[in-house]
Amino acid sequence: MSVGRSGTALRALLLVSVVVSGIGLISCGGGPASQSVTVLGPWTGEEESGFRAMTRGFEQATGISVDYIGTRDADAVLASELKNGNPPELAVLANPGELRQQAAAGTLVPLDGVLDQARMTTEYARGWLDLMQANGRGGRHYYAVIVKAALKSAIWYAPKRLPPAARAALTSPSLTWSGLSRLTATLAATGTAPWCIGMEDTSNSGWSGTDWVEDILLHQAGPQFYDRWVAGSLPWTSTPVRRAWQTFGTVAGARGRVRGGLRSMLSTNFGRAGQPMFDTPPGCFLEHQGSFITGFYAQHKLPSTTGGGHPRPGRDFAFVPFPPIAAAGQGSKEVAGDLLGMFRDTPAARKLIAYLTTPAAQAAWIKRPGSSAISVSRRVPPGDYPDPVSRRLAKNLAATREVRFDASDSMPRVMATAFNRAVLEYISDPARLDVLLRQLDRVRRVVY
Amino acid sequence: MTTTGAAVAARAGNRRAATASTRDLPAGSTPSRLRRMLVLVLATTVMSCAVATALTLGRRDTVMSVRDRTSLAFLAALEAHAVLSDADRAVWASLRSGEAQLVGPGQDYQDDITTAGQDLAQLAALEGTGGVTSRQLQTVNGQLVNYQGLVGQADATYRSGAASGSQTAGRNALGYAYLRYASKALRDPQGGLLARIDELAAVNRRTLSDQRAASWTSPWILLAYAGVALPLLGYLVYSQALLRRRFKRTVNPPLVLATALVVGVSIWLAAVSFRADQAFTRAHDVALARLTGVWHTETRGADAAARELRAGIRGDSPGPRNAAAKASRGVEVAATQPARRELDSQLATAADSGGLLIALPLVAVATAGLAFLGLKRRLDEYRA
Repeated sequence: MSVGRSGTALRALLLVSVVVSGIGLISCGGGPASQSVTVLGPWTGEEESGFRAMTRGFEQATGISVDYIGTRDADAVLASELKNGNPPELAVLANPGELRQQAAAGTLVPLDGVLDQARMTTEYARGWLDLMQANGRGGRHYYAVIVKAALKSAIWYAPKRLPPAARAALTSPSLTWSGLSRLTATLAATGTAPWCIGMEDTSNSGWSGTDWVEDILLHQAGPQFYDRWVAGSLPWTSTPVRRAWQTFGTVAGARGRVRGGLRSMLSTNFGRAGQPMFDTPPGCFLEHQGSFITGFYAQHKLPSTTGGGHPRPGRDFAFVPFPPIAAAGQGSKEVAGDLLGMFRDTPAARKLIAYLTTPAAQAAWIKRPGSSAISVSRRVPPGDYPDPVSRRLAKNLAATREVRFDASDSMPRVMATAFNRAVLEYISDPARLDVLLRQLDRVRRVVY
Repeated sequence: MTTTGAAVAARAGNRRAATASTRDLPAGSTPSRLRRMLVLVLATTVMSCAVATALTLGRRDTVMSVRDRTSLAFLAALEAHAVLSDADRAVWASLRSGEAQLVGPGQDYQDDITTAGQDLAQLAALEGTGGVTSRQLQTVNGQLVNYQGLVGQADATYRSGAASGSQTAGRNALGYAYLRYASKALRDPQGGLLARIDELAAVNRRTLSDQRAASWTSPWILLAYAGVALPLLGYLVYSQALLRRRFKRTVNPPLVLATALVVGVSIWLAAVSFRADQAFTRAHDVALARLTGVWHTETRGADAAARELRAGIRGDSPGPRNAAAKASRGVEVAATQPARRELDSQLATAADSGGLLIALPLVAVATAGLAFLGLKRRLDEYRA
């Protein structure tokens, strides 16, 4: 080897070292940091897939990655993270009561500068816009967006499993609570419990019972009493509220009316409670549940003796509106919605929250077969819904004269939690109703 | 090549050197060649030392990162999962055995929750703040608080039923219902507490695999060292041959010693690298896998016991209690210790640089000094 060649080799070696070092520095330093936004929410399973479908277009369009953390205990987790002073950028709020509380405390970021308010006003009904607002520091502002909505005043049944006479009675346009009570008594006489009820939802267990009490109160006493009760001005021990509980007791506390009795009711998950409707012979016939339950029905596997597969909307399950109990409650509907708020103001979070209000984002979730999501945006056309049941639900929601948001979702969080617990206590021992209502009133006096 | 050089080489009887020099010797004066060789030897010595040190440090840092961070985080997640599974078993056993009337969820439950809290605190310290993992950890902590709240609610309901003596069946049913909610919050495969902890474990497991596959820990990376050490040896041998031809001296002791040092330190480096690679492979593929298996076995035992205890509830009553509760066996952390010691031992061996970090600069200085000594004497002869 010549010295000249050695010199060339040495230079080459040094050059390689410099290049390698350069590459190392570049890789260590990295390019511009990729943006991401963390979202905490209660959606798991099919609902989580729906939300991810909703954000996929956003991720593709902006390059911002959405880190979604889904847990049924999102409320408890958010409360813990707020206490630690380290909440995620975006989180689904437990209810409008929580929205008002967090807005007043200044932990939520106002969205007035994030949302296209002129567009929102044309696309959303006044009632939904009101739900997104709250009084915070410096006045009333937008603090959340509604990701999806649900109709709660619905009774679900399996058309193929319900005896023809019962089906005719149930689907009659003139169905009332008395008629429904007669129908359930007839069904109970066959030896099969008419109602499917499941209270379990980990830390939120009991809410499916609160939905019963709320719907009964709305359809029995009417929207005015309902509003006073939600606002904390109508005592729990008042006659309308007590009567609503007692009416619920005629279903949950009566022997032979609920599949599996007390223990089953307490330990069955709300998402699985209705599955025996599809069995042969059916384990129960009716379920009072929000429209989101169709997402759970669609995951259930039908017995192979009936052809297998999954229940299909219209063919295997359908709904009737919750019937009026008294004239005051005629034409009212209870609804719910998932509110997403911003706890940490970042450019990525702003972009995502603005995107979620667009018709394209809203349609991405509702279009998914079996998603059960309903959009409250007027610009989402009925044709975007994937099945006749979803279309009917959306139409029902749009056509209702008196819409009331889920009462427990509108109450302060502590009141809502006490309501959930009281329902569980009431089911386990209906004789304690007076004690429970007095305890709930004590909570009401403290939290309102 | 010069004819004189070929003749000197032939006379010395070194045919191979002669052939090489016949082909490679450049034109130019001898002093200038000697100076060039000195520069090349010194430069490649510095580079060899730098590359060998970088390789040793890179491997040691990777192994230490595994030993002091990733494997600890992974094992903390495994332990947290195991003890929380055991907490679920313990609280069911306490209620089923009737102990709960006096001691609530029981000492095992308290111990498990304390251990899980320590594991999560260790994970938080290892993961640092910011990033997705840190966020997941916060969620896990929130879920743990929620789980404890549900167990507390179950305990309170159960005890109030036992104390009142009236409507005990309904209260018992509600107490057990709360405990089922707690178990569900813990075990829900979709976003439950254990599922979240498993995600954290999976993140660290992937990092461990990446670290195992990292080039720093592969013996093939020694080729990078060979890329600079072989030219150094070549220059040293060539210098020796040049001196033999030009100065008719068979051996230049300083150059021979420098060559021996380079060969020696290369063998040392290779030996340490191969030993570290073997230890790292055993740590990752054997010890860690065994330890993971032990944790999973312990966890499955607690899961099965908890399942049996939950399944024993009939109607509103606790069913045939005591038998299942007494039979339930908790997680035994001691069972993991042998595998843990094996892992620690293998990682300690893999992280051991075998004194190279001290030896490499010393050898480099010695090699450079000897080369300088060996060549400078001949250069001085020219000056004289």
